[in-house]
Amino acid sequence: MVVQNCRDKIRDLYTFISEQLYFNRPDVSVQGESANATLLLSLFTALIGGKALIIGEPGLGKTTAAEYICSLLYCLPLGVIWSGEVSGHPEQTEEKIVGRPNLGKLNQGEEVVVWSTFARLPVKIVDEINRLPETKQSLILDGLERGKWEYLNQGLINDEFCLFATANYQDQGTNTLVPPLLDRFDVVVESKHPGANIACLIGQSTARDTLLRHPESEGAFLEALQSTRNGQKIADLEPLHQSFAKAMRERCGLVMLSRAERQAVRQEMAALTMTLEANALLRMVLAELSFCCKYGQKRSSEGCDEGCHYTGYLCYEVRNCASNRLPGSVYRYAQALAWWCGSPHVDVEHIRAILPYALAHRAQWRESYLLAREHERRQEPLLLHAARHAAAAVFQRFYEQRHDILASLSAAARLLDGADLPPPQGDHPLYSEIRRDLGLEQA
Amino acid sequence: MNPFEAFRSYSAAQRELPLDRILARRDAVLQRLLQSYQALIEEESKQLIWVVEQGALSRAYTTAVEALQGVDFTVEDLEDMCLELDANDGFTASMGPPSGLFIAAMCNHVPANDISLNLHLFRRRWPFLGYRLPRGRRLYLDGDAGDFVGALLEGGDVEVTGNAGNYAGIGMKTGTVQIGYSTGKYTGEGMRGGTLRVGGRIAALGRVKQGDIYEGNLQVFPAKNPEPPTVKPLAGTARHK
Repeated sequence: MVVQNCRDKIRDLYTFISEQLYFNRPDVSVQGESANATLLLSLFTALIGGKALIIGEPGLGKTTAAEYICSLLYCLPLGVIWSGEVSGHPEQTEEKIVGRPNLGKLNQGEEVVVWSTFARLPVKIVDEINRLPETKQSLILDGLERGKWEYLNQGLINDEFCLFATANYQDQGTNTLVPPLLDRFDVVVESKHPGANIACLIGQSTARDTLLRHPESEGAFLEALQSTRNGQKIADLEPLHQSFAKAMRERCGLVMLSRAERQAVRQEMAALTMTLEANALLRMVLAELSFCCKYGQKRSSEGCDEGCHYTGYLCYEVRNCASNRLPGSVYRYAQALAWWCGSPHVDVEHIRAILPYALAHRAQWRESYLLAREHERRQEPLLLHAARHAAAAVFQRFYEQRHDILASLSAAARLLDGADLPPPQGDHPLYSEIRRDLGLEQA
Repeated sequence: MNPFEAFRSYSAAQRELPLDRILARRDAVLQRLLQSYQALIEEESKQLIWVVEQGALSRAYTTAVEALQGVDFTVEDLEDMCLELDANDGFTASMGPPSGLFIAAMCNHVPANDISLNLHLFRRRWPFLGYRLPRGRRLYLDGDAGDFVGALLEGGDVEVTGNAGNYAGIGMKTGTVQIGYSTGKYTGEGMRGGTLRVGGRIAALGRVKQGDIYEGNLQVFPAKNPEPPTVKPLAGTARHK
């Protein structure tokens, strides 16, 4: 019941943002319900403590979408969110991102770290991340992965955090995001142009910038965060959250989530299990993105030979190997989607809906595959379109073979326990992977 | 660690292929149609003779219709039944096999208004195709039809793309019979209404009572020009009654 109330609250927050703050068209549909993918996946990111990369043209609401969602989900005034944001630019330093020495204490011979608001807040927004030089991108790798920040000999661990990074398309001021950093993002979404009619409304709306501001709370938050600079124990921020939540309830009629409720929602989502079909589909995807019949697995330094038996599968079209973060991202976001839809399980449709967003930034496609996709009619950037095309192809194969795949996985479970059954046979890379796990084929 | 543990409980349900279901239904319908035909044969074999006599035909047709009662069949089933009768029907009476009349009964009761049969597929030339075809139905016969095509037509449209045998349109009351090429003797015999169009030659007209008959573009009954028609009725057709 508590979680049901939370779902209603979160749906109310989504509606509020989409109607009052971030105007855009719905562009994704799941179980008959349409939504804006950027908003929905950003909401999930904030809810589950994920990491989202929001791409798009300048001025199309990449950063503001993240700010609004974080403000409402984490009960933080917009001013506090702003003060914790990190801008990506070539002169950015570890001291500005993570923390700096307390100079007063240092003069007294004592090493005390003053952690940045960015490192302290559970909400982390890196604006224009691809303006960070590649050498400086590695500064934030660990922090983004685990919420673990280190400076001098001291460390800070965020037990609850989410990350949003925004990136413009390539121009003369941008750098390439290194694959290890990209792989740490769970999903990528594009903040699209909302169309002329909605864009016109955005220009006329003046209340958006002030709606989530609350200078009184902002001052109190920043003071509480700064008070720890002097080595004091971090102040209890919960009363400040409650104070802001009360102000928002009075101003907008919104009921915000407490930290305990966020955690309850997270637990509820994590408890959702995958159906066998969804599980099999995910295995098919991973098999196609990691399998190589000749070299054992995909490696970005090794290409596929022409005329390979598996030419029709994604393993031929992709250059790199799927990381172990991919299934985690797909699973967690699919759980969130299933929870959002009120489904008792994560099923094939949830996996199918999330897959393009989790795959787009991770897959390095063959040039020929991208060239074939480049001029197709589409509503998304090429990387998302290519991922969606790939996901649809795997889903098609899954739909055709699902009974055989499920039966083979079931047979494999019993074969591994010594049952006397014929080994699974089939053409898909997953069958090869099964035989490898059964020791019937050399890995 | 068993990475397949989650799938241990999966039991492959008996998978039913749509094709299996379709074939099973088709077989069941075909069996029922064959039983109905067998009932017609048994009934008619009691009569010992099977001649073109109004009472005998009408009785056989009624038996066929009764035998088809309660059989839910489609045009596709009708085609299958034709193939079956073409391959296996050994019963032949003096007027040819009653299977033609049975097919006509099926054409008149199948829940479709447009019925098409590819006669090129069959070795037999069944008589009585289009027998009593009611108004609103169209029977398209691709190939050569046997004798008595469109007999006692009751308002339907029969189209034969090839030739027709003797007695085409015999006793037809209303409707249209269209023959692509030629017809045999006694064409339009006893015809009381409707239109019979023959694209090619009419070997000989029967004793036509009413209706219109065309040979090519030329109306041969009732003759429009004062000159006698090139196709003359055969004398002594009464012996065929």
